[in-house]
Amino acid sequence: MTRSILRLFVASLARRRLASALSLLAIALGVALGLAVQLIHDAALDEFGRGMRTLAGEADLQVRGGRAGFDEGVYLALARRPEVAEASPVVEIEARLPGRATTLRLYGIDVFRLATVQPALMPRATANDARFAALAPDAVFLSTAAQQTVLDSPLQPVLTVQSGVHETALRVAGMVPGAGVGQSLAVMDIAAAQETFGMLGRLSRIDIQLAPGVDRAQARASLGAFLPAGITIAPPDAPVSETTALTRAYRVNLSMLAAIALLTGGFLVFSTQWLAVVRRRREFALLRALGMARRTLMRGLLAEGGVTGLAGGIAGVALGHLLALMAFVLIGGDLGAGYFASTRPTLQFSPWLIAGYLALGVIAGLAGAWLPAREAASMAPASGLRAGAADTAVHALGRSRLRRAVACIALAAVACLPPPIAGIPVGGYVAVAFALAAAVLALPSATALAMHVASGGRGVIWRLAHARLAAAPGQSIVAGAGVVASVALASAMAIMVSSFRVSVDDWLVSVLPADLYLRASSAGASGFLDADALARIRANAGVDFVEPVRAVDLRLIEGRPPVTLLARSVSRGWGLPLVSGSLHENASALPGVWISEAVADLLHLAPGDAMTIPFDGQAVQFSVGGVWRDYARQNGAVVVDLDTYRRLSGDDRINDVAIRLVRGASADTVAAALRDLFGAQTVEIALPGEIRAVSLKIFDRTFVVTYLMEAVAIVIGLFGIATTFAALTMARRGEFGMLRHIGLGRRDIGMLIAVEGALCAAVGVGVGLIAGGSIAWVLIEVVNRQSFHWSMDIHVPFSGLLLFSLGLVGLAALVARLAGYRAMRQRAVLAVREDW
Amino acid sequence: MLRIEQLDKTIAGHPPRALFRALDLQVAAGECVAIIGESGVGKSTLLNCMAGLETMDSGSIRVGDTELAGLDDDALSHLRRDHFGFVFQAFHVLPHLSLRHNVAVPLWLQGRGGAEADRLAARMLERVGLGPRADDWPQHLSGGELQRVAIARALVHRPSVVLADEPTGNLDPARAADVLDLLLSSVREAGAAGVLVTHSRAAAQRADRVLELKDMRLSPAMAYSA
Amino acid sequence: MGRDTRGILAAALLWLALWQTPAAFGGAGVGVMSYPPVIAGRALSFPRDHGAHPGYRTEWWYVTGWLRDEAGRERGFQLTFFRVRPPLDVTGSSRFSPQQLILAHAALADPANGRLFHAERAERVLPPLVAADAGNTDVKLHDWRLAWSAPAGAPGHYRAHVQAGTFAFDLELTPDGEPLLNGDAGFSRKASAPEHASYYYSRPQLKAEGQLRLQDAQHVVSGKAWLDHEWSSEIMPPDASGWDWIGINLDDGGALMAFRMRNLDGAQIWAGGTLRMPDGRVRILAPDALHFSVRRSWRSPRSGATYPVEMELEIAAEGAQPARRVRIAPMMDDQELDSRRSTGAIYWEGAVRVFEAGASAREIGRGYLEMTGYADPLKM
Repeated sequence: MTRSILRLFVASLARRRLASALSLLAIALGVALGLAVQLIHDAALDEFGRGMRTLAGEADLQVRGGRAGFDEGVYLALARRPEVAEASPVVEIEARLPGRATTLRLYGIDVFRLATVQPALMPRATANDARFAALAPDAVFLSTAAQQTVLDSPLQPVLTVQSGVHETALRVAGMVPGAGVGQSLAVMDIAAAQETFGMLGRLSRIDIQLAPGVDRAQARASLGAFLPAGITIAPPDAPVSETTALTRAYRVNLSMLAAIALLTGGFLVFSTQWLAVVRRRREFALLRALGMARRTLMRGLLAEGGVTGLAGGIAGVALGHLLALMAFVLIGGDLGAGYFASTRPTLQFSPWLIAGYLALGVIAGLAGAWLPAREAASMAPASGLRAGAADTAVHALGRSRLRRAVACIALAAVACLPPPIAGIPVGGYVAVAFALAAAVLALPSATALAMHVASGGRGVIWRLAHARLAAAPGQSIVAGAGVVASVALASAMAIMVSSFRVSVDDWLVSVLPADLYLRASSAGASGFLDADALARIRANAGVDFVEPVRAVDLRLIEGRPPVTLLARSVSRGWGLPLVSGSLHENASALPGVWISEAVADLLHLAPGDAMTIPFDGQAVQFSVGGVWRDYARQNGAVVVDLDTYRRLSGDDRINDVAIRLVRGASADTVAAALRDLFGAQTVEIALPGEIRAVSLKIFDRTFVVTYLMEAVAIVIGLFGIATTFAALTMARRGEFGMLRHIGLGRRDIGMLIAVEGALCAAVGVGVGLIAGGSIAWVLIEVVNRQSFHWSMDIHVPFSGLLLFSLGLVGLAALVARLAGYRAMRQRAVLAVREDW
Repeated sequence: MLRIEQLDKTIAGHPPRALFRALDLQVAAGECVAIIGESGVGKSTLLNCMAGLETMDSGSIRVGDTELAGLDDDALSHLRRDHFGFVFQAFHVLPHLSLRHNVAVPLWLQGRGGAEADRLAARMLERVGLGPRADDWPQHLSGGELQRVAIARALVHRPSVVLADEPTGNLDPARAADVLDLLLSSVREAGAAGVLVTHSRAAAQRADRVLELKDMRLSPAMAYSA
Repeated sequence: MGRDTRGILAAALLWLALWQTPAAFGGAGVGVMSYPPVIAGRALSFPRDHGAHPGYRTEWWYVTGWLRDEAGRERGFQLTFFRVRPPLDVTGSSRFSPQQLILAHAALADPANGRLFHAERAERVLPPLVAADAGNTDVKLHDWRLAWSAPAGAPGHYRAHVQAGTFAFDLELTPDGEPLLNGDAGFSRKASAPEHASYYYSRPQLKAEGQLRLQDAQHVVSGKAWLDHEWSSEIMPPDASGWDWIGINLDDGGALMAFRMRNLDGAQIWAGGTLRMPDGRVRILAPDALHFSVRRSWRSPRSGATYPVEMELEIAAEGAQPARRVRIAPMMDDQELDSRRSTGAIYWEGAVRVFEAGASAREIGRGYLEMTGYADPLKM
């Protein structure tokens, strides 16, 4: 039984090598892309999680504040609570390294407290060094990964870090052997870290081990009640789940793209199986006549699809691991999106994951083979044995499915309505799936319509091709379903990315109005400017107006990473890219806060609402003045007036300064003067044009993966054209032979096939573009809005899409002609003698 | 109208096999010649050579004033387009074209589209007795009817030569006789030179002349000549 | 293991802090500290000198003793708080600044167990969690504490509180009189060179009463204990490899402290002691008045070190005082403490009985014996 299935069915895969290979490849690519995305992300998240576990050690709970930290008195009080067995204070610094682009994560620790709570961070002095090195105020210990990234040579004795605009030389006193290979971090004494980085009296984190028998949830509640505002207490894996929450949308997005690649692969299996079934109708009829059961026939044909899927799955799993490995080497664990700084993930093998993706490949193969198998099994043996039966099967596919298509469109529209589930825009993805289904179902009707509209041509080749497609719209489904899916995907992504890019570009222009920007370091890192530095900038010749910005982290939203608080002038300064509200303080007595769309979405706030923001342990009431668009901080950001911020926090440091120059002053000259003032390595000075260029470059890098996936989907779509035409020209040998007899040249036949391919593709592209447009709308208005909480203005890249469509139609013509080369060979002339 | 002189052809193989040696044939306008012979002697190959679909080793094939030897694929295609009509055993009526359009295809090939082509095709269909079904689809036709469509297609553009390869091979004897009569009368009426390849002596008998392909040459089939 | 590993790791710093000479430190930021010298003639003043002396390099409060539980079982206990001023050039104003470290070590000798239970801790001084009061004895390391308390009208006592994984104790230790000043009115020389000396007094015959938890069993205990308080800057002479020390509460109400410094050959290079008579008279024992001789040795199966667990001590006659010979025998042989994994330091610190040497072999007292430098020379 199994052997007969192998011989009668699966062996047929080897006979149609091109089609089998392309189907296999398509499935392999779909599986590979999906698996690679998951592998990469899992590895990155895993490493990130391992990092967090390394740092948290055996802690039961962690107390965390923003980057600015909290009063160390919290530690002294917490350590004496009966629930707490052990507590370990940590000062976390994102140390800016002068002259380097990367920062170094540095932990100020109490070496005596580490052993119980975070043994992995235990520093080890290199031989012959002082025994008290771990306590020495200038000693720093580097993990292996950090040594490799921040030291020019392993023997480099001194590491220079920046605090404010000042540099401090630290002695590299040893290693952090427990950190593991993937963690780039440094450790120094907590007192030294507080002093070096201006954190006197402040802590970033306290890791807590609970006394035996104390319930974690109860302890969390009882300790949390006693903590000042703005400080959270949570299990140590909270940062992992926070980051998971943040990256989930991004990961799901990529997985969806991979799923569409897999879906396209499934379509391809469907095409090739359908054609194979059509061609082998007489073979099946004979088998049935000889006594093969309907079920056996069906099973055999499904086995063909399953085997293709399995082989594709195996190839895809291998390829996926390879892709993931390459991605680690080339673009890093976050696929260029910047979520996992300072972790260096390594590839993990997970049998379950591999089995899952293999199963996906098999499912795609089986699903693709299902309809053709059912069709073949339901055929009456007698009719199948008759000559000329082949074409009728293709005709059967051409039945109008317009009603179902309309139903799918309606369902897609409804699916856009519900809110996201656990941060994932499930409805949006469902809508995308329905839109794709509608497009494929509408293909026969669209073909008929298109052929009706385009019935004017005179040339014999046009007339023949047109007649063929008009009479057999089923062929367009077989050949064009993959094209529709891939074009819909690619055009949707193109429209979405283009809208995004144009919006980001506009946004960059509006958030970078000054002539020159100076920054000591990014929000979290250790560089900052003080009042003195600000005065020195103001005093510079050529500087007209200076607007300082302070950026700090703020724990505002439960279960999410900290949001960024930007303190700057609002109504007096350079505006914000508002989407609602106004820049003026409203009439209420409360100070104003302007929130980014992410904060507005996550906290359900609108202009005029009241909002509580913790300042140095105090909860302060603000009134929401407006909502602004922020593409830079997916975590969310809030803007408050700088004076208000200083009054409430007592913090008068500055991160960024926006500088307007006096008329006629040269930005380059002023930049050079400022560099001389602070030292080229301690501050970054940038022109808005440079910032814009860099930002757009990062933007483009983020979308590299999506471009890659689109390209793959397009290639798979073209495979569909190729296999269909390869098979159809075999089936139509007699027809082509007759045409050669009555006077069509060899090239004319080639042209006929090309025109048919182009027509098929044109219809597919047309339907795909319409579907793509609607999917783009769903992506922009539903998926992006719900995943990332940012809005954008729709911008359709018409000329690009036109070029793409023409190119694709041309490619389809070429592919069809290449696939149909057999029909053009001399021997084909003789095919008229074959009894069809 | 069709003149073959000293045609030599050897087909590749191990060892190569000579099919024709100094083969001669002349068919006048309005004349129908039937060629019979054992399976595998090269009847179809001879037909293909006449249509320029297979090359000869040496000799001459002329259609009207045109010598086929030395013409390239394009020229041969044009020649076939203008001067040849074909009828096949398997009909080869395109399933995705209506009967009228199937018949009109040779006219389209000559660049004569539109109303004229439709009119001429309709007239040809009337001639073969399918006039009222001009807009029907091939799926609804019987084998004999399909072959009538094919005959209409073979003659619609007034070819000089009509080549028929076992035109009745897929038909039952009664149908076959009808279709063959229609073919021969149509060819004669059109003043074309007709060449009919068949293994059926009954069919061959209806032609003006019957030649047998044997020993690499054509010779009158004695049993059936007058 | 778990929480107790902390002790082992912390002990690394403990030993290094105690026994590393300043000259061994190099590198930026770890400068040569100047510690106040220990000089003769400085009169000790109480209660001030019961408290911490943060300027000096090393200081310890060392409590040892014998406890008897309600069932009559006898166990030894030891609790030590070290205060260390590390040789670091730390000037910072951070509250976490590691200018003073507190290290603590507790052990329980239970013959039923056959070896010691012990636990260690180390912290930087961070009031109120970790502190050493300068006004009177009050050393605290989270929930471990040794503090003097004198409720109004009461004579006052020490309170020793320890919570370790396998054991815990909470004892009141009441002295029977004034502190016993060792050496020259508390100036205790450790070598022929005068700079190797400490300020050193003992409180023998402490009446101990309180609670003891061993694994899961709670016991009410009472017994006799001994407290040493000693501070110094450069205690150990360079040619010494280790020391032997005893502190014995004699049954007649007297007390005996004796120590000797050994060189690498095991020879005695210095010795000293104090003998308090039952009537309160005190005899300071000069180096040549003390002679230790080995009676029986025990080889540790773990470290391979051989300790003279039974010794005879001969105290020479002086004036009206006759010569005395006593035999020191351990409660159990294995009272070795192994901190090799973290510090390389292995030593023996255990409960001993003292017998009259000679024919009568009468037990005359109980106390503690400490032997260092037998596994490896104690690096100083």
